Amino acid sequence: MEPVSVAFIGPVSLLALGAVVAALVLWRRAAGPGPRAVLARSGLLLAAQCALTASVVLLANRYFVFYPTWDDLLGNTPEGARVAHVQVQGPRAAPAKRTGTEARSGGGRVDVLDVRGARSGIDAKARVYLPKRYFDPGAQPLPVAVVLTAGDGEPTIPADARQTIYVAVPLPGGRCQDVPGRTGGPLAETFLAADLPAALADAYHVPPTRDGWGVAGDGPAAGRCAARLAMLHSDRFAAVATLDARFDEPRGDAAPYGGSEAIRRSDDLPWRLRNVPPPPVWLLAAADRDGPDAGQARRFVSLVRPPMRAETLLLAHSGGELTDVLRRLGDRLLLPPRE
Amino acid sequence: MGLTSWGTFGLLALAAVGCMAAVVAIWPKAAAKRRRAVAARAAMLAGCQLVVLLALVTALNAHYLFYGSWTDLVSAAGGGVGPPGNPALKASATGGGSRIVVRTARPDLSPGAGGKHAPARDGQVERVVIQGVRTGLSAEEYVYLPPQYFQAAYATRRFPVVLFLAGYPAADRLVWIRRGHIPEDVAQAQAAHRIQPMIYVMARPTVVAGWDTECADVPGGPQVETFFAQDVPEAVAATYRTARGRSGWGVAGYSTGGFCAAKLAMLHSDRFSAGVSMAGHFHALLDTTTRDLYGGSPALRRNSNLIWRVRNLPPPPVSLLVASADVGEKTFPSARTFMKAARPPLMVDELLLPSGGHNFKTFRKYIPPSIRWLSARLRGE
Repeated sequence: MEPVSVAFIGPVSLLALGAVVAALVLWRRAAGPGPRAVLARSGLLLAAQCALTASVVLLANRYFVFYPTWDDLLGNTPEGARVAHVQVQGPRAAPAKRTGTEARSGGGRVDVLDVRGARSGIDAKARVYLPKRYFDPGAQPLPVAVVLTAGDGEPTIPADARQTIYVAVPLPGGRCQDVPGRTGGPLAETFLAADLPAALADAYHVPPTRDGWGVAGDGPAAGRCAARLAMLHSDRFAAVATLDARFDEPRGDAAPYGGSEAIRRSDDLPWRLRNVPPPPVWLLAAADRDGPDAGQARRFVSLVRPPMRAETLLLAHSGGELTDVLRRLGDRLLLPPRE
Repeated sequence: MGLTSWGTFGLLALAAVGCMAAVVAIWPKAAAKRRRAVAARAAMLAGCQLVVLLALVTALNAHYLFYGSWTDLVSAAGGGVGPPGNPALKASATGGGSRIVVRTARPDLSPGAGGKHAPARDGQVERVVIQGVRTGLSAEEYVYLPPQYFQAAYATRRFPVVLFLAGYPAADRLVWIRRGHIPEDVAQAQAAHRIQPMIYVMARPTVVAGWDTECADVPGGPQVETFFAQDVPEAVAATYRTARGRSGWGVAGYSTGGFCAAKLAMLHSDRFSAGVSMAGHFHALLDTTTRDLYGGSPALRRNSNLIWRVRNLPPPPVSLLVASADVGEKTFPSARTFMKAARPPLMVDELLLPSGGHNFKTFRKYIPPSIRWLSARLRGE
């Protein structure tokens, strides 16, 4: 008969009911003068109050299940529980596999890495540009710059970069963010922010903290995506460079926002800069000097407040803008972390 | 007068005794045979009972610290404190990343506090205040550093870290020390070489007073998930010699903290490699103490429902320990459904008691085996 069982609470409640009825009925007989009557009143009152309190406490305990058994309440049994496996334990699949490799002019290597995104379920190919210095024995890990591309085209990685590992990866399915609450996602953001860095850390010698990690994006979508990733995952990336990015919230597809206007608004990067604490990242917003994106870059940078830092870079049209931007990002990642 | 103070309880107890004395005194006046007199008697009994219960509930609350202050109580009733204003205004003063802004050694809370306390023998408890630069949130937490942290042989060692999250509201900021007995239990288990030296960060999920946020990033509100997934680990790693990679980080909690721990481990498996949910639920709660957490969006709520996640999304590569009880734990069906649906690479282990209510006596039975489980999985550097 445990404290939550009906067999126990029932009689106690009946007792309480009985005590109350007894008090009401016997009231008049205890109304006389003299110490005996006062004693009788006190007895009736106390019995009713105690029994009522007990039943209320028991009912509350049954509702919240604080103490389901007497042993729980009074006993002192030492823990005897054992941990048991629910699933069959087995090795986990490697998050990355190198499927191609070629020498790079001026030393170094370019690898094709098949990234298996366990968290996102997205698989993608990344090209990893390793400078010669990466292979020096005993070298410190080199900084990593993830370069997002909108299409299949290969970005122009600075050929003379000696100190930075560049990793070119297309936006998964052209997306940048997770679609919440839908079977299978897609979870593009989880892939870029969690799966890809984990795969790179598994396959290469890379910096253990965010200070050595940057992200870059070329073009309206990839540029915005890079800025978004760095701002929302500033525990992973410390610096970001964008070229011709459109920072405003893209209109259209409502699915990534779960149909919520509040979430859609919180994904608007200029709105974030105005309304929520700025993240501790460095941003380089580059744009064609005469193009329509120069204004975007200037406006966005003007909204940035510490601890976020930002610079605008307006470039003459030359065809080598991305190389320039990537080199600057690489240089930034080499600076001592935070002044 | 504080909600949990002796004064409040004393006053109520006095009122209860006074009530009963008054009833005994005016007893004869309600002794008539009329119906109105009977009603008066019943009213007197009920009134007395009300005051008695009020005194009892206050005493129980002072003991278990469900609600620590009147503010906690009022906001739990759905009123009072609204979401905080623009947190941006008080953020950004720290510069750089999230930091521990206050750090005080508390030898009085450390093991061996009775005699001569020595950090290199007993370890040390420190009180810290963490300022989250990304979220504008801040929280008071307690860190237990193992004895090895202070020993020369371990001077270059980076220790694994476990973040402990209490239930809601856990008004007592020292709940993991006073009721969980973590420093003592850990010091004993370590002395017996049952566990490796780890750093214990003891926190509460209640970072906004009177709001059970379920560790969610509330649209237009506090970003509690980001606080615990990004700000807190960064601040802890910037202050102590912690492991840097995910394989050195674990998260554990009971009740609401158990849900938080499972959610943080699953959604931030790049930060945490292991999680322990003690008596935690696995679906996304919504009630008067949580208010709206998901911007009115069913899709976003599903996204925080861990049972929905294991059924509909790729399972993340983390290890989870689910501690629950067959009898007496209301969240057990939720835990069982979750465990049945879990698939690799998500690895689930279970720690089941035959019976155990939703109380600290039960939680204490979960804590030592959970720490051993975490110790066997986390790696220092």
